[in-house]
Amino acid sequence: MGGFDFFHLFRFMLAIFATAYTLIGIGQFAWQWRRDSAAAGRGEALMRRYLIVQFLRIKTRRFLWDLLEIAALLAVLFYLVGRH
Amino acid sequence: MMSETPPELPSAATSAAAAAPRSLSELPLDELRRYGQDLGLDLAVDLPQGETLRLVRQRQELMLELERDALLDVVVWLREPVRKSESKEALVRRITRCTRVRFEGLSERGLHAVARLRGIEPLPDEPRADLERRLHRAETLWQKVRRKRREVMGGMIDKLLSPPDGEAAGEYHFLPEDPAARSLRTQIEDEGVVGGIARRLRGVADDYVREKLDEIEVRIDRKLDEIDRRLGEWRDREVSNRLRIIKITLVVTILVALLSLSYDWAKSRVGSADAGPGGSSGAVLRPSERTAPD
Repeated sequence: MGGFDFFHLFRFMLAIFATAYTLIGIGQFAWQWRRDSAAAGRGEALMRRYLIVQFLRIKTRRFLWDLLEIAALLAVLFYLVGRH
Repeated sequence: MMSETPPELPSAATSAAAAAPRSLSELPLDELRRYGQDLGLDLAVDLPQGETLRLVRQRQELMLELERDALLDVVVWLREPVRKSESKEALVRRITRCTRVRFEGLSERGLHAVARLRGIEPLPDEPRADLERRLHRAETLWQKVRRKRREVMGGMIDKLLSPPDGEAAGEYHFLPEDPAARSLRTQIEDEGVVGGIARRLRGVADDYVREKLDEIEVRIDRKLDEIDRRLGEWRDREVSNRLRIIKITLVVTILVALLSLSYDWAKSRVGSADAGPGGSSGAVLRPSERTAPD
């Protein structure tokens, strides 16, 4: 048992749980959207189109600073992961 | 005889409270701002009511000062479909939508009207080219970029959709005037006394109903626009919150990665200290640091 490392086990389990949690969350979200948007009624169709229009109207410039911060954080994260 | 809109009152078609005419000072700030923006004013959202009111009144005074013929010249140049009897306010609304900065074919008085509506006062005896240059310079960078982008897109789509031998624009014609404007005498001559009077009364009632329906439609449209604007704000807030959550998640992930890296580093240091100088250690080394024994 001399080579056994609890921190490595913790790190591995954390990665597994975090990935599973994220995938389940995204899957649930996508399924819910698919279910809601697949309804064939007139109201749902209107809402669907309206949401698409709202989505297309998002102005990237308004969130440019946030997106840049996220890009910088991602760069730092990839660097740190690469150092392992 | 044309009647102009009184300066104190927004036109019935534009005022959300057209059912009961109100003076400008009684309008809520959002309606006042919308009214001013329809007249071509650039009103910031945080502009106080008093200042907004002053600017709107200033614009109404300007509308009264502008010549109707000059405004008609501009709408003909823009080839906007209007009736010749349209009110000045309606003409100004059409004109302020235009963002062109090339004025070939526009009369001198029309150019002056456009300049004044864009907030540039023409100087006495100012050459046309200078005034056009000033109008050109008045554009902000973003307006310029937007205009150029539209020009490029317009050119591309025009090439795709228009026939190669594109026909030249024909002569401009105003829209026909309202046929209901015939005189009672003409109607009686055409349809007899009873028929003429009945048609006139029916016409008046129809006009009234139509006007009311138009007003209701305008109010509904305005409310829908308001709902749309608020939904847009809510969407932006939601996107902003989601991005914040992503940032927090990334920061936490970076902290965990740093912790992990520090742990590896500390462990390798401890392992090398335990092994002593020159000895082999049980420390975890990075693959790049592992070397085969000689």
